[in-house]
Amino acid sequence: MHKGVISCLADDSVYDVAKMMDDNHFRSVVVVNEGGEVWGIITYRELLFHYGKNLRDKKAHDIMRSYRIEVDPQWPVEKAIELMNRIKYYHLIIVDPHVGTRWPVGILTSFDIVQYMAGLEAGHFEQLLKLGGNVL
Amino acid sequence: MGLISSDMMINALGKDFGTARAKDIVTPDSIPTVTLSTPITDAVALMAKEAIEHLIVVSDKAGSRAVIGMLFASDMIAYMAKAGEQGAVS
Repeated sequence: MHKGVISCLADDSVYDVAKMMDDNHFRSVVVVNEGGEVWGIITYRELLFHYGKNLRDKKAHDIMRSYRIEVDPQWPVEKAIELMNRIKYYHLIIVDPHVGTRWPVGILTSFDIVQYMAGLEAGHFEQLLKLGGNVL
Repeated sequence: MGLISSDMMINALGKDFGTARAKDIVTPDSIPTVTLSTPITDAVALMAKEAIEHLIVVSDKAGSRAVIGMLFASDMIAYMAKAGEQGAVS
């Protein structure tokens, strides 16, 4: 589990996003609106398409992938795995629906699940979130 | 030659991991490879196109496919961030 979530605003430069990822050793950055709600996601892949270009010329919203998937932290891990396999996307932003806003509370990746499979038998995202420590 | 990533492990869920072998999960030659003489721009483009975060680097000697090392997307992102910091186009 990623330690919390790192996020950026849509107008942040792609350079800022790359630096956030590098500094924090995160594989994805959540793009949020002014209210802090999930709007999109930028992973390594989106950044790699811009290798060799001036990263300060582009904004996060120019390269982000729109994100509208709802993933409840109460879901069993198996349900998240089924979703990953179905949509072929391995970065799931966890949003707590009980809060009433789409604030990101964590990110679940295939890597987290493999670690989880190696060490635990069953549980919910909240366990993974706790394992990861702080959340935003 | 192949490589098992966490994405592939998730795809293989349902297999009995207690008895499954690496060959049951990996698809031979499923991961594109590069050589030491592959331009970095080509390697990065390959990663982005194939949506993978690592490439196996193999020998570019004729007749050899010996593994030399790995190239990671995280290293490329680090390079892009540092080049951007220095004001270079990256």
